[in-house]
Amino acid sequence: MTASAPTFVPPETVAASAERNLHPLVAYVKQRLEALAGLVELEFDGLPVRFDGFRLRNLENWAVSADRSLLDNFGSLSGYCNARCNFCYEFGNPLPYDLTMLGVAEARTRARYFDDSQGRGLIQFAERLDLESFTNPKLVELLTIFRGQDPNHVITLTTNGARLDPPTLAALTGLRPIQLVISLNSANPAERQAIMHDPRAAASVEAVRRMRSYGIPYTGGIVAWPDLAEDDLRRTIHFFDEHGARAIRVSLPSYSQYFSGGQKLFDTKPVWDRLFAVVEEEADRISTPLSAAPYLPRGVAIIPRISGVIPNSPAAAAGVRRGDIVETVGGQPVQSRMHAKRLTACALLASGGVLNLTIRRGDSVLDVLLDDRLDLAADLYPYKPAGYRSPTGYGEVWGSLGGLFLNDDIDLRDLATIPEFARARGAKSVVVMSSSLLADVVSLCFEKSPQLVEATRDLTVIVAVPPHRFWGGNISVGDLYLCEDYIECLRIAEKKLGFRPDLALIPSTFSPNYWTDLAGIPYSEIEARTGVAVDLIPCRRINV
Amino acid sequence: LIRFRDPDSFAVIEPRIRHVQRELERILALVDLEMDGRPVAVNGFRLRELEPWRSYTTNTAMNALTPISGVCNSKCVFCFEEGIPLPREQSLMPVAEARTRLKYYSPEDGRCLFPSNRPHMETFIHPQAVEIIEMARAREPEKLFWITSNGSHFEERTVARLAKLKPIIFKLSLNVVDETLNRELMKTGRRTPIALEAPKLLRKYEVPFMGSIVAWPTLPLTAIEDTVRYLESLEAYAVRIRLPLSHRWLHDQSDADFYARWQEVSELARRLRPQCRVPLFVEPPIYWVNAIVPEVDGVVLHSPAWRAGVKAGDVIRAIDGARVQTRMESEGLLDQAHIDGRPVDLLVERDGELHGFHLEHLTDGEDRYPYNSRYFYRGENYGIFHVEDFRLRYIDEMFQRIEHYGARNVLLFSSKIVAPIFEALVNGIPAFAERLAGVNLYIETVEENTAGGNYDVMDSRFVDDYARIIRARLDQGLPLDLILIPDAFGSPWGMDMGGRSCAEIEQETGIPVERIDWLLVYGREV
Repeated sequence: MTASAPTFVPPETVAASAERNLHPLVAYVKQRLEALAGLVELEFDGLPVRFDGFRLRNLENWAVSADRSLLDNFGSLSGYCNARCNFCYEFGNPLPYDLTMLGVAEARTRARYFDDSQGRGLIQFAERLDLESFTNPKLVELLTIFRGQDPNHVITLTTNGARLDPPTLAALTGLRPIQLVISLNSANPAERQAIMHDPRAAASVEAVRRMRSYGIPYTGGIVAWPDLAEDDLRRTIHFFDEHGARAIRVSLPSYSQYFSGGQKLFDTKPVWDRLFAVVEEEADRISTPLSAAPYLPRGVAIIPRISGVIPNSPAAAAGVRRGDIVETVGGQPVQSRMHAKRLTACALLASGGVLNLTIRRGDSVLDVLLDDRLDLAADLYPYKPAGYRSPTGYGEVWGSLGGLFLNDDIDLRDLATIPEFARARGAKSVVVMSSSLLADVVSLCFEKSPQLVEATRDLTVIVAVPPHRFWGGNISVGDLYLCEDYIECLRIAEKKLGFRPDLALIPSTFSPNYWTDLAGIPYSEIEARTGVAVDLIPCRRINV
Repeated sequence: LIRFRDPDSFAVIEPRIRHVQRELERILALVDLEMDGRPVAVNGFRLRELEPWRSYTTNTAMNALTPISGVCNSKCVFCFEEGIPLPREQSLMPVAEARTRLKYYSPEDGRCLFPSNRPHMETFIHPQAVEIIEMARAREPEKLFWITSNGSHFEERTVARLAKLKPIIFKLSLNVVDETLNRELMKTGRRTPIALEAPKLLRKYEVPFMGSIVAWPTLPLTAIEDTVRYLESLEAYAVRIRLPLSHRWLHDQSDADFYARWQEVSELARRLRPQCRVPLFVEPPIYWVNAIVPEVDGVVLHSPAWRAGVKAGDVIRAIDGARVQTRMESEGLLDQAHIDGRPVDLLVERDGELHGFHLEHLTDGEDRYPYNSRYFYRGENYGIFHVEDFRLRYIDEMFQRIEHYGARNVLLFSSKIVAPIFEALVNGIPAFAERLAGVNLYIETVEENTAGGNYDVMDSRFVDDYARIIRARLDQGLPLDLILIPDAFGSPWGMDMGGRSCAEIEQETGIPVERIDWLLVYGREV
């Protein structure tokens, strides 16, 4: 109802705007308004009234999005990018996205309607891709609005680093606690320019060098596209290690059929195998946690193996090493990696920062004391720079865990809801949708987890991996599935099984809004088209 | 050019308008509209493309205009519109709307825009009424226009102007010629004398008119007789006496016995008819005449039938040698002959004897006021009045529906006046009796009409009245597989006056509901 409320798309530009990915409710209103506007002309006191957009009234009714923080509720800060990476997975993306940036007015409105205690805020009215935040000229102002409302939450921004000039970095220090994920890709300016078309590649590399001096922790990112020479990859890993990265992530190359024009660009398995071997080899040589993404297909699932230790962290101080396996936390035996993470986080919180662990290293079992009691002034960059109340933790729901780097993993608790869904639906046969990355682990859980085996005794569970018909290429991530992929999968499953399964369970994380897929198709479409009942199982997104 | 401020008043005639309104309201409860980033206010809408909204058919440009006035300067104590708790658009039709309506009317096939949502009130209260009728005349130069008025705006200059728009016939709601009684009954106020003089001016300018009298219980029978005589003396085209209807929302609730009143007024009319030189009939006509029998219900002064000596009450036995059995059959043959422009030989039965008559087809100049040979009006050609009667095709079509559904247990609604006629026909005509075999046909009459008063004489126009009875019958265990309701709603969508749909009954009971063509006691005007 206010001037600062978000505004929408004019009917005059319907042709262009109809393609945009609006929230389903907003899209519905827009669609109906357009249909009605084709039928009738509106009036005020007998005179025709023209309109070219609309704004929502009573915004409090639209504050139904569950977000951990106002910053999450802001959504993408910019739908633009200033780099032109050779491997950009957005190239050719046929899905409609809103090519806009977050405005100050919308951010203020979002701040006004965000309820911190409930973690509820305004829905995303239009989806835009989460691209380069620093292309938004109002970025600092936006973050200041957020910081004004929430002094403690760590701001995490992913950036290609091209705009990290000294004034910007200085401005960011005023917004601490803040951390960056910097997709440098190569520490060699010439190489970086060739890959990313960043004309200021040298300055970008220089900015990474200076991160420590600004006291802003960062995670280093490298997309290991096959073009990237192996020695360059190794050099960039070492560059990050030498310049205080909190962690290093090497993305294994993925592409969609829209990017490749339907061509197969390389044999994924040997390329990924080689890169994974390089990463494992380098991880043993450096002190910074290093992992490949996706990690799971080559890494070890479930087992609480520590894949790295954040430099300057309590875990590093206590001598914990990569490869150690967590056996107990605070005296409690650990059952899985996610269990270890949960226990560690809870125990650190409950004890005020002191925690006993037992870890197994080879044949020996060691007792370790983590002391995470850090005062504001303590400078443990990159784990906890001076002036930070608590450690940073990129993408970690459970915080920094005293510096233990445990790769993200499937959570058995999410699988545990499956029998309940089946019971509620009276289903005897259930298709559990997975991805090629996780299917083996999921199947293993149903075979080996005593609780799951017991709970699914009367149930036929089929773990299915839908084909990535929509994205194609070598896309393997489950959260990129569209309804049409699931429909195809159920058709194949029915044919193979010789009967129609009673229920299909889909991880909720495939839907940006618990309602539709990325293309805006409601998941009820799957049930309508296949006749198989469909439920979303609430899941935590796994950073594979 | 058609604007909507109170779409609820379209509930009956075009519910899609209301649907558009409701959806707009729902959306505007969620959002504010904007232009160039600024909010814009909205409180009405108009249709864009009118072509797809030509969903009605009619017979003349005048009727294509549909009511141009939703207000009246009289306040008749019996006014049907008085006090009814339904949305009503009480406004005058803008000239632009009239122009649009005429533009979208096709004289060739009768297609026109859905009607105005205004109730049919006093046309000439509209300052541009004559101008609008002139526009209609220009759109369709030849056809006969029937126009209803209380006559209170018929000053001489107006009548002179209207006389140029012939062929026109007025339905003049005079009601009673006695000025004191007229003022009490119609409350027309200072224009009462103009209304009382209107028949004289219409006679002077040779504009034919049918005088209408609502025989409200407060009118003495002598006053009704005087009024008939007054209209007769001014060579009225016809005189219609309407038996009074009362509904629960009328401001003055009469405690008169309306059924007794109907009888005494009918007797008066029966007594007067043979004495009058004017076709005199009572509404509802089917209450008054012998149903089906091909009687002459009246003869227009100076018409071919009048000249030949045909009289009201004569029973037509043959037309041009062809045997005639029903009133509607006779009407059809006479209408066709008139269209063909030829003379007709009539064989009639009067007091048990057969008489032959030759009816001339008059040409221009041979005819004489109030008869005009160029007029065509169904059921009144050659000056022979036939009132609307039950048609045998209603029964045939009813059976077609029953057979379409293969229904065995059928509930048929009918007004209490029409039900006995239907029963006599369906049992009396062997072809129908045969089709009835194996079908349990239950006939129901709505005894408790939502409108109250004596509306129970006719088919209800309220969905609830039917739903109530159907529920009761189903509760009693009556097995039903088809429900037939006379299409009295006045809505091609089966919407009743309160905006409810006939389909709700089907939805509630799961039993198909069909609206059927049926003889409506009072026609649709009431």
